[in-house]
Amino acid sequence: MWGNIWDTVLEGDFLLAFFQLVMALLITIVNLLLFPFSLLVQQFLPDLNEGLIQLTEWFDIAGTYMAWVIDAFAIPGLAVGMIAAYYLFTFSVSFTAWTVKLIIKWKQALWA
Amino acid sequence: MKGIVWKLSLFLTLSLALSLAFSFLLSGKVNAASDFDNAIETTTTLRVSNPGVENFVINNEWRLPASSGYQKMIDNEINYASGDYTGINLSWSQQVSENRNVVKAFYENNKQYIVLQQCDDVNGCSIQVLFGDDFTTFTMERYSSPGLGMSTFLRVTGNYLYYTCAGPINRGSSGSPDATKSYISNCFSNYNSFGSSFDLFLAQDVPDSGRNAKVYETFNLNIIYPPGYEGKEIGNINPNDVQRLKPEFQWSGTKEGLLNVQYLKNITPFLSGSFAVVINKMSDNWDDLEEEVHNEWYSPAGWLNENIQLPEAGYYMMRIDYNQSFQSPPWQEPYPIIESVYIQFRWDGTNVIPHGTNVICEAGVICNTEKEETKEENKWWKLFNSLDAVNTYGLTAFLLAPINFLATLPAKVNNCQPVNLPLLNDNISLECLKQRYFNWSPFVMNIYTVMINALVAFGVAFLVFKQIKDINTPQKDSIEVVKL
Repeated sequence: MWGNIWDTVLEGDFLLAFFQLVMALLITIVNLLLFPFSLLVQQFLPDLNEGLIQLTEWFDIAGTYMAWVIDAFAIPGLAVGMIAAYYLFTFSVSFTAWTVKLIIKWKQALWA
Repeated sequence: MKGIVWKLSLFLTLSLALSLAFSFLLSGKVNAASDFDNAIETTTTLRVSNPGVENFVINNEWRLPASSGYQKMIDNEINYASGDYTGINLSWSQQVSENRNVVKAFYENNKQYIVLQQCDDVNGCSIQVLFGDDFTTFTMERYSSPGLGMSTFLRVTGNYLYYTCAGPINRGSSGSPDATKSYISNCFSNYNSFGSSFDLFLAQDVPDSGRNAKVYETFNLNIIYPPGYEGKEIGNINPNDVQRLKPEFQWSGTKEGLLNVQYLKNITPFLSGSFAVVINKMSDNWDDLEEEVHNEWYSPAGWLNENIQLPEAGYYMMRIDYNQSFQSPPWQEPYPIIESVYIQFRWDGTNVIPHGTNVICEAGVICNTEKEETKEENKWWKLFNSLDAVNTYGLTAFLLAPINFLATLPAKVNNCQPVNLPLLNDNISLECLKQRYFNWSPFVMNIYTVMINALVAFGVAFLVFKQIKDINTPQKDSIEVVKL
């Protein structure tokens, strides 16, 4: 993931690199924040863990059917890409900012 | 802050509602299967399932007699156990005259296999190995047709890779487990098909007086994740979706009239062996082969960084053959595959046209330096593809599900797959339609595409400008603070 970003920087595409950086940061932060909870859930609540995985799999299945519907309406890939990129950007940036704020809050609460 | 919390709450609520709906629909599917069983004339139906126990062991072997005795098979004891277990060993074997058909499904060293051995007098024997993923269902179906006698089929549904190794093998054996297992490693060297449903003809018995009878055996094998992958989604084993690094090559022309071809990255690891660069001179527009101008093998140590003399300006096709170690699913032993990259380019005597082209070309696809960029080369596709490969699981996957959904949606739209309606009828498959529209009326569809793209571009631009404007506009609270 991080290697891809560096490769993109080397290719001179800074906008894409920035976007990849935001996503990588988001995923890493969320992974970091949730690591202890994930561990607990996996250890002591395997059914819940399984349920969460099933839910995410549902999104995958829903995506396949939604892709078919979009294709049936002949909506071009470029248009879908633009819409997805816009919402992906706004949602991921705000979510990342919120997560960073949460980390700072926790840090202040723990070390106050 | 409030917005994010609100969105997350909405997402959680929607997810729970959807999961409930999904569970309900799934339960409907199970009920439908039960109804189907009730229609079977022969009442001997055994369903191995134990929803109360997470893992179970089936350690048994049944033998199908040549013509009858199927009842005896299902009288065997089935043991359930929770907790540790050593493996699943399901076997069916049958010997009919000179024909030997063996089906084995076993679970060993965190690997799940189904091994199918088929022999007949004409074609000899072959072994087929199905590498299962997730919940794989085996259904043994035995039915008769008037005049054709009783037949037995094994139906396998679920996601799997399907390997085939041709015989002849071990014709004298009826297929002991050990004898069969020894062939598995050989079978992994190539795969020739994949899918989600498979019927295997096992045996045809003597006519049974025209009686229509069906017997079903269903076994649900619960996958055990390999160490380090507990709880993670094991990637889609459909070969088209397996993440594979695409080799990158770079080339440039020198003033001396040489073509410099250089390997950049992503063929990892190189195995012992070699790779080759073959350059052919082609007729105009790469229509026909004129002559081979270069054909050299290179050692792994030297990689590829060669200056190649091309005879004259013109159209050329370069083929680079290389070895790649392929390992997917992750618990599978890596095995080498040899693939080729095909690149069409034009040479003006000093430069490749366009000059300084970097090529990222997928194996098996003919790339052209002058044609428009492919999906894989598009930077946004690259981004979406890289996100698709991120391993997240459990809580993280759940929280990032909408983002991941958005990120992967364009790729899914672009690679539209036919969908079926499993709850209504498994046989109904809805084909993707966009290409058909384009075939009907490309002119209308091109206009429609441009219009939609323009409309969406306008909408997205409007939203972006609105957001920028909102950022620059002082919020009501801050104005009031300033006033105070």
